[in-house]
Amino acid sequence: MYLMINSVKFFLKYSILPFFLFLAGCEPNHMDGERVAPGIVYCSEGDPTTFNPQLTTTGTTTDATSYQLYNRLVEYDPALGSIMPGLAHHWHINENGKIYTFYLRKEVPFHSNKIFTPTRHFNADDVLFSFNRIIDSQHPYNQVSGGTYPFFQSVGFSSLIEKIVKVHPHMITIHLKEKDSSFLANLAANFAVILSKEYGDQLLASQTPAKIDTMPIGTGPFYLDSYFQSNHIRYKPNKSYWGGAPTIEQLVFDITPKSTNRIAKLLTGDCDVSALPQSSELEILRRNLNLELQIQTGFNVSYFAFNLKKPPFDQPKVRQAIAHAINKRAIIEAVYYGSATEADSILPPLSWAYNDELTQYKYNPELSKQLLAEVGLGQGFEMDIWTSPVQRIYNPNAIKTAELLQGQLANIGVKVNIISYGWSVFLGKLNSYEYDSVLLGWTADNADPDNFFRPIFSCAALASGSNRTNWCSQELDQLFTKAISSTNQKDRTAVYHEVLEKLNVQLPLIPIAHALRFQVKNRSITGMPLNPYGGIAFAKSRRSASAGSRIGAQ
Amino acid sequence: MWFYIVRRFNLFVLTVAVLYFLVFLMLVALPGDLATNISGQQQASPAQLAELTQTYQLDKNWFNQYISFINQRIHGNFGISFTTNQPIYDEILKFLPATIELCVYATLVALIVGFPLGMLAAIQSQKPADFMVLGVSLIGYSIPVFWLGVIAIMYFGLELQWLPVAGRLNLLYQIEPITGFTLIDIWLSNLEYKQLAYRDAFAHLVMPTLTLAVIPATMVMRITRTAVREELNANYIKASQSRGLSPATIMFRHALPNAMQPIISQLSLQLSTLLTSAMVTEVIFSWPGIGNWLIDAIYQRDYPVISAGLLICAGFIILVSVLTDVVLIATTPKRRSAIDGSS
Repeated sequence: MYLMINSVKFFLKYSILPFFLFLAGCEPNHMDGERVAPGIVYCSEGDPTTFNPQLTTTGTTTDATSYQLYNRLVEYDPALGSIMPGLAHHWHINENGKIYTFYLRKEVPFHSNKIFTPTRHFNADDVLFSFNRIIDSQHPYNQVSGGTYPFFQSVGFSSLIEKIVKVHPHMITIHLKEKDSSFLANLAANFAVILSKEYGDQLLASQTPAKIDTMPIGTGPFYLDSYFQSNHIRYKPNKSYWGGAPTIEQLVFDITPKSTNRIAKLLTGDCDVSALPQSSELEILRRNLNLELQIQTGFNVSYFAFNLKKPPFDQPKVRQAIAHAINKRAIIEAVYYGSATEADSILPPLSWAYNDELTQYKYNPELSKQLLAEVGLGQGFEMDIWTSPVQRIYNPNAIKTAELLQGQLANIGVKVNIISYGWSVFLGKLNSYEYDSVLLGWTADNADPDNFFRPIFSCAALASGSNRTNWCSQELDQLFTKAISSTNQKDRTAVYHEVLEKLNVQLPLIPIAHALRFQVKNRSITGMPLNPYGGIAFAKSRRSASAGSRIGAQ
Repeated sequence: MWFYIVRRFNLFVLTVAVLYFLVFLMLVALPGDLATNISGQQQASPAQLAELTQTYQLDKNWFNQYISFINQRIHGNFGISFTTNQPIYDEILKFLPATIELCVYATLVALIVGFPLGMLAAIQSQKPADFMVLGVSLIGYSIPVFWLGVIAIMYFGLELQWLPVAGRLNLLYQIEPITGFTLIDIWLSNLEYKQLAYRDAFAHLVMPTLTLAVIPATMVMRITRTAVREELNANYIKASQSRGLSPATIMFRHALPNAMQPIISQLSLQLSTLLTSAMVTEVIFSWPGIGNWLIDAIYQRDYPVISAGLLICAGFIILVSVLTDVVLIATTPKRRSAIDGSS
């Protein structure tokens, strides 16, 4: 028997132990100062819906495309709050504010990929191609990939532009039908990217035009290497980028929908930068010395919109009654963990057009019951709130918000049913306007206050699907036009104050909160300022040599 | 023998037919159009709808629909996913290797750890070593996978920061998914950081593998212990001991081969436990396998994917249990005669 035990011991010694030693041997490698393959990993919150930001307004898509793959004619500098040169190195506007002349940069190469190698550099034809695709319904690419350009439709791009003229290969003029002071800001928005005409022509010849949006060619600092849906996107630096090639060897978007997973990956070093940390996780992030939390007051708003075509929400009193029944403070505490400010208008207080003299809808359930009784709904009613479980910049947890609203509205006798869908299905179903009310929000694309009004309330936005109230008024549309036809900030402020007052009385939607914007990154990553208008840019990011700082910071 | 195999095969076909029927019922009962649920084609155009009606015989009675449903599925047409609009068959092929990889490594660990310990406990029956093994296996078996995984993430991942907690490989390593098995793919790639990539892949494997291995390891321990102990008490062992055979010979030449039969048959029954724990483990460690995919589908109410996942997982378990049965019968005359005698 002794021998038998010995043989088992022998077996143990030479099979199990080495196995554990072998495991242990490869354990601590991960966090050593010695770095894994070079590059930067960004934990993003979802899949881009397309690789062409012209076609969308979702932040996830613009994050993955706008500043990585493309350039715009002009760029917005968040630090200075002004418009900077992009693909146009210089521009001027004539006296009546209707003709914009752009002088284009020379020697700007396009990317190449498996099926396309550019033979020429960027020129005026590409600008015409990119904008005509949007404004000209006869353009061969106009209907490709759905044919909707939500941002441009909401700002009335095609009705605003009279014509775009190529003066010579590196100079174009854009003729507007009327003055629009937000025009330059819109050209600098994440969506106004420049595509390659040569690529478009080639794809058209091979009858695969949709590839222009799935196999993107741009002029940006990175080119798309590969994309695995729901897994990752890989970018490689564009060595001949006109603004100076990026210093990082590669850029990977690790698609990680769950916030806790993003944080875990950040802590263990699988990610270097992460999107949208949840407010409840901020404390952990602050405690970790390896990580840097960037905070920025966001140009966004989350709102509770009614479908004004559905009774009883066609009556302003009902909407006001609901506004009085909502305790925004409680929502901000429970959903945002305090990292947001109460919204009393659609416009954040940061904006120069903010109106601080609006009458506020204080939390007062008694008053709202009284209002409901006045319109004969004293016994209460039933309604649906539509929402989506996807985390957004303006609302970290819309389902929880809906549940709080459910509880608060129950106090005034309104029974709420929460209906939720996945994000893409949700957006699709919204367009049929079958909802009673919906929890949504808006993140501004630029600093111009117009960005909060026309995309959300105008009649044009009703057609493009970003006006979720199912209501628009000629009066407001005229005010919007009046505001953008002036370049005098004082005059514009007066108009916007009037607009805000009208909206405050009509109350087609109830603004809930303006969320702070967060971004977390490893301290060794530099050159990544947080942009308040959304859109993350890696062009100037770099990893500092002191990667070893991770050790000892435990 | 052949008679037995035919009987097993019939049983297999019948069980799978019942499985398909239940899944078919589920698709009928779920909210939404049957054409949509069964094919994944949302907002189908009239032409597409006509084609679907043709393929799945939706205009005929339920039995025809059921038969054409089976027909499509066994030919690899699982419809398309609601969320990605990709053919589900391709998605399965994309996610399956990750699950197989995890399960194979976990099973290996479970065998390497559980088998010797079980043998040790059998040899040392009713002695401290036996009680130790029993105690450890009881504790291991009682710990829920999800709790163990989360605790491991908390301690080794977040607290000590030794090991990565999610995924299969740091994405900075650009590995083409040729086979879908990370280690093989790294070997096939022409990466300049191959050594680092191996280490990174191993580091990603450690926690999920060990977490998943705990329960199978305890089961291997207990099954081995019982089986070997039974054999060691048999008369022929006593006889060979008295004939003066060495303990090692007795163990490895006589007791163990005989003990293997019950061990294998009982372990094959534990496959379903392994698969369910693998799903939980995959979700906890964001392992991009079938389990993670299936649970995501449940969140997204992606009915075609849920039904496909059910068919694949349940079908796999049925297949393996039938196969082990056949293999056991083929190799163990004792069992065969028992079955034949009863029939």
